[in-house]
Amino acid sequence: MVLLYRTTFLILILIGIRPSLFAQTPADKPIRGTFQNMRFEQFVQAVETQTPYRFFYNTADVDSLVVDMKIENQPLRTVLQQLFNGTKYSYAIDKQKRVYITITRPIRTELPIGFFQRGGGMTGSDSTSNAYLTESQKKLVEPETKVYELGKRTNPIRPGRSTVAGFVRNVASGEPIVGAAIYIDNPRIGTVSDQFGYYSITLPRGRHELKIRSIGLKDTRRRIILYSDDKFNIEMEDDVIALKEVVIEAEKDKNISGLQMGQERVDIKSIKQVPTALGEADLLRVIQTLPGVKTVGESSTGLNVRGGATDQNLILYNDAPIYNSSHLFGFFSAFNPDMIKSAELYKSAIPSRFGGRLSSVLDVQTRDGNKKKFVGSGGIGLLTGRLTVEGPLIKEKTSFIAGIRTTYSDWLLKQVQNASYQKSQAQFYDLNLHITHEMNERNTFYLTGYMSQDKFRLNSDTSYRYQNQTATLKWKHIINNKLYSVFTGNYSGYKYNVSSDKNPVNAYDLGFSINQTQVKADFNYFPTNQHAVDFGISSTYYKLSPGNFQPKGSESLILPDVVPTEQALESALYIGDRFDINPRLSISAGLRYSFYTYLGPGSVYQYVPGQPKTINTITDTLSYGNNKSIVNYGGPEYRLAIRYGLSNTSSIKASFNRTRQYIQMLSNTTVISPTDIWKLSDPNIKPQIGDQYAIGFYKNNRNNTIEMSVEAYYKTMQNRLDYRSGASLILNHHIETDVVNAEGLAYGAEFLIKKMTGKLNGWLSYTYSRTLLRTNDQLGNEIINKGSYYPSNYDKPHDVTMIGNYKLNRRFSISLNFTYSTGRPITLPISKYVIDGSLRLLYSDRNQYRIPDYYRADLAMNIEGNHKVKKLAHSSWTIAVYNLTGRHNAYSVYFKSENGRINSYQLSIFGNPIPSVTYNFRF
Amino acid sequence: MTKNVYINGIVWVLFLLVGGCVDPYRPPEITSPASYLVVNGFFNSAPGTTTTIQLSRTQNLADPKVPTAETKAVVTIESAHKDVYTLKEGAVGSYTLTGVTPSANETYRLHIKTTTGADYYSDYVPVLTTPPIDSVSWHPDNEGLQINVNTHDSKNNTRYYRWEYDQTWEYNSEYTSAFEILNNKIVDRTVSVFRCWGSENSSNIVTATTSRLSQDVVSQFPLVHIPSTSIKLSVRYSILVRQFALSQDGYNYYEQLAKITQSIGSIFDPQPSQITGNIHSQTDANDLVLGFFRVGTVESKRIFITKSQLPPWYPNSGVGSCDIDTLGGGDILRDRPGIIDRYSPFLYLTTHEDCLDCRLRGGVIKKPDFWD
Repeated sequence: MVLLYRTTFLILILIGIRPSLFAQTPADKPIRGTFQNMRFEQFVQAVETQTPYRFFYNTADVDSLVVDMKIENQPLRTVLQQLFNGTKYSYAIDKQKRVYITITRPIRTELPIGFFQRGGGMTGSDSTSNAYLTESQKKLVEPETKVYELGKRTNPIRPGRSTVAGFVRNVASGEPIVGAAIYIDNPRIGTVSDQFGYYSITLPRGRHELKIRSIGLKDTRRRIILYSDDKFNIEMEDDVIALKEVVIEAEKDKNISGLQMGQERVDIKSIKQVPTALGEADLLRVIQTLPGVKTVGESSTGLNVRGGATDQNLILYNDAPIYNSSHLFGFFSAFNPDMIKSAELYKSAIPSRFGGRLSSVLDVQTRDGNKKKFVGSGGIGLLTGRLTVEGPLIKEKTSFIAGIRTTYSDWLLKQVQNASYQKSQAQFYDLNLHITHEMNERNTFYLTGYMSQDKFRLNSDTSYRYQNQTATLKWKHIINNKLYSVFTGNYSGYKYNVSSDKNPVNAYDLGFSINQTQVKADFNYFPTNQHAVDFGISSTYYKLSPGNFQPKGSESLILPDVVPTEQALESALYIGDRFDINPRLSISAGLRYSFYTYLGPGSVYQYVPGQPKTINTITDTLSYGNNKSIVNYGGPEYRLAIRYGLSNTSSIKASFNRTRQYIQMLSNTTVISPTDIWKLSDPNIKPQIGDQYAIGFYKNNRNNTIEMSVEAYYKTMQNRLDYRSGASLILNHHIETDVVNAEGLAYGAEFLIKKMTGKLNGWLSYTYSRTLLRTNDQLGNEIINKGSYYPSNYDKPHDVTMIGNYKLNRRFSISLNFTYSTGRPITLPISKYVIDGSLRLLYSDRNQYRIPDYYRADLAMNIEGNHKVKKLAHSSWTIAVYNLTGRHNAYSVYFKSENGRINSYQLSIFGNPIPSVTYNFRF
Repeated sequence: MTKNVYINGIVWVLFLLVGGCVDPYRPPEITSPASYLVVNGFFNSAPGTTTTIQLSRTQNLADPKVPTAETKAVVTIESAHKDVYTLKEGAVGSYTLTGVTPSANETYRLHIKTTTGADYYSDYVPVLTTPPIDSVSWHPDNEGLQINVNTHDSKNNTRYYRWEYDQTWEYNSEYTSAFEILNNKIVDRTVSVFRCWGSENSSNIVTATTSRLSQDVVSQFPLVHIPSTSIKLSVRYSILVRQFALSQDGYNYYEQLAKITQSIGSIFDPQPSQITGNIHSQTDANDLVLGFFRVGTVESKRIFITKSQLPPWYPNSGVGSCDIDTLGGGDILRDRPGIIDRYSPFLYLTTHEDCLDCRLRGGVIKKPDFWD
């Protein structure tokens, strides 16, 4: 906006300068009032409410200007003369009663005589300033300068409040904008658009300037006169040309003024900035760089959020959970970067609408397709290729976006003239489809389908295959300006299959699958601008096939072994309210009540009370019929967050939340592996309960361009599972004999400095955190480390991450990342001994040692194609070097008895700098 | 060509990723808080055999010495019906029992009382009779020789198996040698060093189970794979396979032991942990005992494979090229090469010592008793 006025101003200056003030003689409406020590903006507001005058100025120019005068029925012109006398300011007033405030030179409000004759007979009826603007600028200016009258016009304006609601959309594609801040400055009232781009704001009736800001979009504003409740849609423009402006700009002061803490939002532009090992933008890799998020190793997309395990994250892809978020041994994440709009990670103060996992929620949203025209994008990297197309099905009403991504690693393997490579196989693909249908102003439908598949066989006869499938149907219904509802049905399925057929006698097929179906209804209610209430109900049905082992081929002697299927129903009711008590203090309180029923058919083993659960202590087996309730669990989950604003630039926040989890992943490997299985809570495996207390201090400096925050947390987890030594989890009919009940304790502090504007942007974070476990099984199933606290596998106390991006010019930018973390804990051998003639090792207590510390630096360059508007395809290149220094970061350390000798090794996943080149295009 | 270079580059990158990179690792100084008792051996249930139980102590990783034997302990085997058999210490730390045949329906435990007064008991274990080995089969494949074991239990009782094997192979020097240097003189060689026998015992734990099969049949279970260039296959090869039946607990013990010391290091491996066995301290639960006590029999089978039965593979002798040089007596006494034979009255054909003396490659010239 500022830029626009500057441009206009410059154009006007270029045309011809008249040194004197340009005087006109309109019938000036007089002004009255006492203005004491008032900021110029407030003065303008007062004048604008009294008179039809509209003011235009650059806020930065007048920020030090104070009005201190008493005015008795004087014309504006006289008042301004008086005010600006002897200062650097000048003013000009045009026929449309627009007042332009500038520094040193006044704006000409009329053109030199005969100007339009040269241009070819244009009439002068249009406003002078608009005549100079190009087409696109005009489009933008109009809504900004226009005054919108909302509601039924009354005169005078009735006192009280009314609600404005509507969608914020991208002007070019019609795509809804999530997380746009819509606010007025005085009194300070604001809201944020939701996942549908929908907002609702209750304001005092009267004249306002609505300001709208969002990620990667130009700030805009709308002048409204609010008479009564009305709908009001806002369109925003892409911020493509102004490089000085930012990549992430959303809610510039959100960390001060927002209530949410422990929340991180990343959008696709910042995802694309961060260099990855194979060149492709990767959502989960970026999430892993955030403070409080850790991962055990490089080839893992598993997240450990504030001491939580990898299965304690609810990873939602348009509302449907994704059970295995990795591709190709974890080198790629399950999300196609071209489909993603943004992702939000909740580390603490999890809103009451989410539940079912203990540690965090990662809410990934796809983009809506372009409603106006067909466009496409794609990319080619070292190992993968992807293509996305989108466009309207019914113009302005229905749009789709569809994407495919696949790897050609398999084809590459086939090209190598080496028998062992040719026996190997590694491939994956994923498919995405998202359709948005806007039936009318009140009803919108969304349909999302997702499918991914991985298949690999590494120089062996065993092949692995796994598949995620999700589908979501969502109906958003606006009941009135203050209330809307969303009805969602979704399905998520995950399955894997391992098969071997080298020796026909032992050929087998091993399968696992989990399916969940969920229905839910969510309501959002905005009774006043001080309250935002949401409530809803949801129900999830799980069906799990824990293991199915079958002979393959007629010669196979394999005995089929099927672990009986499990089913359960998890339901929840929730209500939450965000209450802004005053501009400084707000509270968000929520309550979620979840119920869980483990359903038959099933057999439950009974164990000798007071004895460790082993096969030998099974006393009885209870059988339950189909759909009979075997066991019920449930309870309240409290969510509370408080914000207190210390000043305009700083605030403190505190939160508490309790979460419950009824399904857990069983894995005794350190990374997420495709053969990990999930287990529903049953009479012998109790659901997990987590409590987290967090407190934070937030400060913005330099006009909200530098954000600083400190958050500390303390977390306890009940009924965590750890495993007995050498536990076997696959095809285990009585998992409870192989697990031990543990309790977890996590605490830490996160420091973050973030600069998201300017040529140089990025963030620097330091995290101190500990995650400890303790076996508390009274039955003494197995007491690990004598019952004292021991570090969990992902306990990495110190972590420093720096993400930096420098824009050299409009087409060229450089990113540099740096990561340091303490090595993760391991169990090392402490003694050696000889059994049956060969040397063996005795290991220490669990996790008493650590692997060497981890350092890594990455470098990436982004080169954009030229910025011509009309050309066949827009392209960009990303050239990246991952692990720039080639450091051999230990992934694990292990000892091996080889030919009677004990040798120790460290395994590094990346032993060299990994260069990559990716070509991306849009058409 | 350019295309291939490109593809190989990418494959290199891919395998760099997948294969990773492994470096030797020097761990920090690790010392064990205590030295624990280690028990080796089993109660042999075959009539007329001698049972040997060996006791020793664990050592720190960096300790280069042989393990310390646990001597002067009282070692007894007790039946559930209170029969007690005392073992006698022969060699230091080695306790033997002869002339006692356990009865098939009885269970037994091991009891050790050390000189420090600590009491250790094993769990009671049943007597497990090992079924005979059906065959030790072999077949050449592209990379070498694969040796497999086959067995079955027609009563479907055994289910859990463990194997050990001893490999022995005959190999020859590149040349025969007629002379040797003795006391700085060239003399006729009296003992041939042309023909040697090398040997190697299995150090890995090899187990298998048929518990998921409808019949108790072990078919073509792979024991050893010998690369086609191995010297083991240069003349004649023999393998002795010993088979042990295990209980399920015993199988789990060996599986876990193998898992944590043999195959750790790939990405999806489980984390290692303390594996002890079925022997426990009566006096202090923190005093670990390592080893697994069992009662049962051993079955064994030996096979021979001669070079003529194998494809025409060329073994890599491991001694490099055996260049021949013709030297006079003075040069020989100075340089001390190996002497093949006399070339002329004053000259000898010589070559590297390795090419003549097979003992330098680890074998012995004494023919094993079982070799024919």
